[in-house]
Amino acid sequence: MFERRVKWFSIILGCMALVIAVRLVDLQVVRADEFQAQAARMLTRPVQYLRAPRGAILDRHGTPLLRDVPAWDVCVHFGVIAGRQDYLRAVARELRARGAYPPKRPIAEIADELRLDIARMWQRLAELTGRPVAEFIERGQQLRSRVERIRDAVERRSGIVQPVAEEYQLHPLLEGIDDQLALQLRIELEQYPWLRVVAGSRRVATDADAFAHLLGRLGHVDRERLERDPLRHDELRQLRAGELCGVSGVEAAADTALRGTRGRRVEDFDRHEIERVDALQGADVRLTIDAELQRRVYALLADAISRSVHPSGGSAVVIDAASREVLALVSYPAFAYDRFSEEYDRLRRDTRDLPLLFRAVAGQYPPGSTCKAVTLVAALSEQVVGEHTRIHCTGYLDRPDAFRCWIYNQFPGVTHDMDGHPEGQDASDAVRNSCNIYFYRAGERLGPQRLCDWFRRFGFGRTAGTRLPEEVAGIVPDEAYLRRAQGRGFDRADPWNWAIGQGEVTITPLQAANVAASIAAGRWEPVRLFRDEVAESRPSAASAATALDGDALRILRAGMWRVVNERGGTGADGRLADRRFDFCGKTGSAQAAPRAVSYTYTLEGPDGRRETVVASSKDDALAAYAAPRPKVVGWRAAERFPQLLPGEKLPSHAWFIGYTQAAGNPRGSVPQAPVYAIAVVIEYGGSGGKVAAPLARAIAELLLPAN
Amino acid sequence: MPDRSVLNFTRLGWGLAAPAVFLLALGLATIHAADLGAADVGLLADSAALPADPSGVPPAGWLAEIGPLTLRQSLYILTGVGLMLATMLFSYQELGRFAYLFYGFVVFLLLLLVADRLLEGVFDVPLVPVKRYTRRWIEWGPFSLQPSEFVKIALILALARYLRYRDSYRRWHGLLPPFLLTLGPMVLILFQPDLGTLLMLLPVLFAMLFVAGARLRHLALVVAAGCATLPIFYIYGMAPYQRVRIDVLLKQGVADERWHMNEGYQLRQSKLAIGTGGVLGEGYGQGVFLESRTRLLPDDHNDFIFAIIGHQWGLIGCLLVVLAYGVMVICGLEVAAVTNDPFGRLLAVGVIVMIVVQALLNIGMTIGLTPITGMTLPFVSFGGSSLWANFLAIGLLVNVAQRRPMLIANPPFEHRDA
Repeated sequence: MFERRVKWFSIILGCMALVIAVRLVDLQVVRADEFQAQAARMLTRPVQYLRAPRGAILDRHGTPLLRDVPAWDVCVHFGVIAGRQDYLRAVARELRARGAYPPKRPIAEIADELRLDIARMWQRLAELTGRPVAEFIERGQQLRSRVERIRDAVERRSGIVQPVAEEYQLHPLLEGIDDQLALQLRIELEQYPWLRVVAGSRRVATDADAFAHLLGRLGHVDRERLERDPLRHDELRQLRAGELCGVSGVEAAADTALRGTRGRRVEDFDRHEIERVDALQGADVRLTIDAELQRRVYALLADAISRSVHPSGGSAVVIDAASREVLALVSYPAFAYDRFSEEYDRLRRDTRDLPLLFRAVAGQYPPGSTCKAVTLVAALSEQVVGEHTRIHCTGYLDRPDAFRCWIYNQFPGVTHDMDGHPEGQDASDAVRNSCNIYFYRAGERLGPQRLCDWFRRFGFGRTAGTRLPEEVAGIVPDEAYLRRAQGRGFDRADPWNWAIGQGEVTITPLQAANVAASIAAGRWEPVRLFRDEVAESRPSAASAATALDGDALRILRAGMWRVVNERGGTGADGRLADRRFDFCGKTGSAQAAPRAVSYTYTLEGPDGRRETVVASSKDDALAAYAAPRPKVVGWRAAERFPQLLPGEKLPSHAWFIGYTQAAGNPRGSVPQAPVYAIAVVIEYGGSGGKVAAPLARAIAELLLPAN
Repeated sequence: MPDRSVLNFTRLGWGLAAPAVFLLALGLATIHAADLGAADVGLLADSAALPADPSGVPPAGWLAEIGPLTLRQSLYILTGVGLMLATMLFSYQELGRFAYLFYGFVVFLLLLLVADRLLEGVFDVPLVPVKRYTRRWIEWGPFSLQPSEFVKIALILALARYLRYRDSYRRWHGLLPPFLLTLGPMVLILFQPDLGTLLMLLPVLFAMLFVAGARLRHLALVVAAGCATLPIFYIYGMAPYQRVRIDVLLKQGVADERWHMNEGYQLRQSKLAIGTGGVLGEGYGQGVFLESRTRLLPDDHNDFIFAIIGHQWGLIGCLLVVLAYGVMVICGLEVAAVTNDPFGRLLAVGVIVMIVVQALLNIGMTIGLTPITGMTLPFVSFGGSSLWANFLAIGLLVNVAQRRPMLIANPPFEHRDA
């Protein structure tokens, strides 16, 4: 019996051994590859990306406007930022193991001490940097919520709960500090295992206020940018959550070129580097802008605006007509580029001067009489008027109180017929005099649809081609637009209004400058802001060139020559002193409604009580209220700009568009170099001829070679 | 009359000693490799069995080259061999007379541990340190002892002593004394707690009763009753951390990385070490688990040493280990079979069961077949107490092999019905 039982016993043990053997074969033979792969994955640390310095933004001569210079970042481990117990305990365990604490000391006690160390670190960091502790804590919270968002996203995508690499990394708490501070922080704070001062870079602008809008800014990557990123499939060039990318201006327009190629580093479990690819600095991007010119135009514009009765804003644009390179793209008021973040709140709330508005490409103004240049080309090309067709200036169209000529408006009862054109004005005269009646008639004969078509041929209603994200298209009030915006079709008065650049039609200063360039060069084509094609990685919004009728242009150019160079021309103040060159142009005094600076909002609380609040925006109006917030049930403009004195007439936007040419071309043939197109607008500046033309002349004088 | 001198091993004696030597050598080599691999990561200060180095500075010079654990394990082996030879000086039958005394002494030590827990805060007893939330060690100066390792031997001796001339255990009521002998220490160990040792004692009891010829239906009924209470034990009787160990076993396949990074970490790493070993292994001292400065597998020198063996020597190494225990079992059972002294026979079976069950449970836990419990791999793992207990056990076994009485009577326990 004993023998038998021992035999059974042996068999049972044998079976157990067999189970173990089978399991071993399963692990070491069948699934060996799987484990090898898992080990390779697990035994390397998460890929670290090395930040690539961003490329510089240069002007057309290679002068840097914005570039990365080496600086230092203070990085803190996520475990400390998030106040995670497990991280502190791990540090405590490691420190104890390394002999920093007595081996018998409980981990919990050491962790408590570390917590005090962390509090001391925040304090010292605040003292050394001169910033409040609260700022670091707030930054920490931002980082924390960002990492949590990443983790949630990973969890949603992968369907499994897993920690993300960001939870085990150092995060920049303070960026772009200088050598001196970095050294102090290193000496005092790098004793803490969770803080490191690492080499980074800082984006430095040189004297950039005149470029403040143009250069644009960096901001944190958001979901939409991630999804739209053209390089999203390139691991080393794609945008990554938590990094910075260009969000406005050239920084955004040329982001793919500027951002560079990040480096890649993989370490094994012992922090030995097993793979390293160095980061490549982003490409430098050369703009067509002439930095010196831009600064001087900015100064001239600022000066001109400050002398106006209601100083607010304005813009000046210079384009090389042959190449369509934008030489200056100036917007006023601008802001101190380096202090943007500190002043952002003030800038955002300034609804009177709108300093954040990049007026050169995003300011939409009725073109006023500058539009008559377009109307004339349209009328001549469509042969609704001829070169010598004469039209009487009757002072007004139907009734004396509406659709009047500006001259009748200013000097009641006077018409251009009385002012030396008894047989009526021909095309050239009409441009010289900017006669409304002539262009009302021309517009009437063209009709609204053809006017809109011609507006489009001159680039209205589409972006001019800089690729700046701020650029707007302006409005061509075609039928679709009218239906959508106003719920109506064409009206009898529309072509009258539009022909003289009033009513619904709006354009940007850049579009206006390009109109001048197109008139000079004989065709419309998109402008260029970048010297190198490489920067233009985004598909062009504007289409190819549109040729314009040469005969019509010749007549128009002759008129524009007379505007500036004939005594009595509306833009005579734009005449150049240097007789080697001529300036041709068209003035404009565009009537626009006053701008609403603040609104009176009527709010209805949850209890049905109503009250009114004056604020610059709906958000501001509601900002003071805790949830549940009241509803906005109505609003009307409270304060307006400009504020007029009793009896004062609302000043119009002062426009001037024109181009320079070698002297001696009054008959309007193709202008000889140097041909620079210039557009100037001064908001509520008054008369285009009195205010804008002298400014445009001053700008032209900057462009033309001195003796 | 067989030769009674100590060093004259019988053929079966060598059959037991050779695998033990093989396992000891394998263990020592692996401890050495693990020792050097993780030398500067603070294994020293973290290791449970080691006196703390107050300076925290890693040892230098010759000690660093050999490795502190290797040195200590060598000393344990030498003293263990001495202990084994010492037990062989006396006939196991003479030693058997002290079986109950030894049992009593070990139970007393266990009671000390329990008393320390119950009297916590009453006086500061420096004898019993709390390590990893358990009280398993008695420390006295530089010496430390784990009484639960010796409980197994004491129980085997006591059971063999009790069962040798009886057949009362073939009846229901006669099963009570052996069960009481076993359950007593089990309850005390539950206080420590030491689930591994706890799990060991029942197989020893059942195996000894089984070969002694207890009725199968009795044993089966007890086993069935035990199995029926398992879920209740799982829900009410187990501490949360013990339940987690069962969960670890059941949740090996889940796709929750956080689980594998925390609760499931030890098993995941262990399987990874074994799995990456493949058929031939990474080679001695090779592979990430040994070359990494970071300790990738906690307890790689004691409870999970089998994983490192698998990592270094692959399937071949693992099967050789299994084979070594197999040889030990066969020789041990052969000793039992050829011994017609009932005490010797039961002793041999008890010792073999103790070694083999411990080996099975330990290997099983490293490859995810049994729950993770604090259990060493006999003769291989680092640790003084367990080595000494194993040497003591193998000493007793060889002792039995050496002193086979001449066949003058029917072999005992040859009951006719089974």
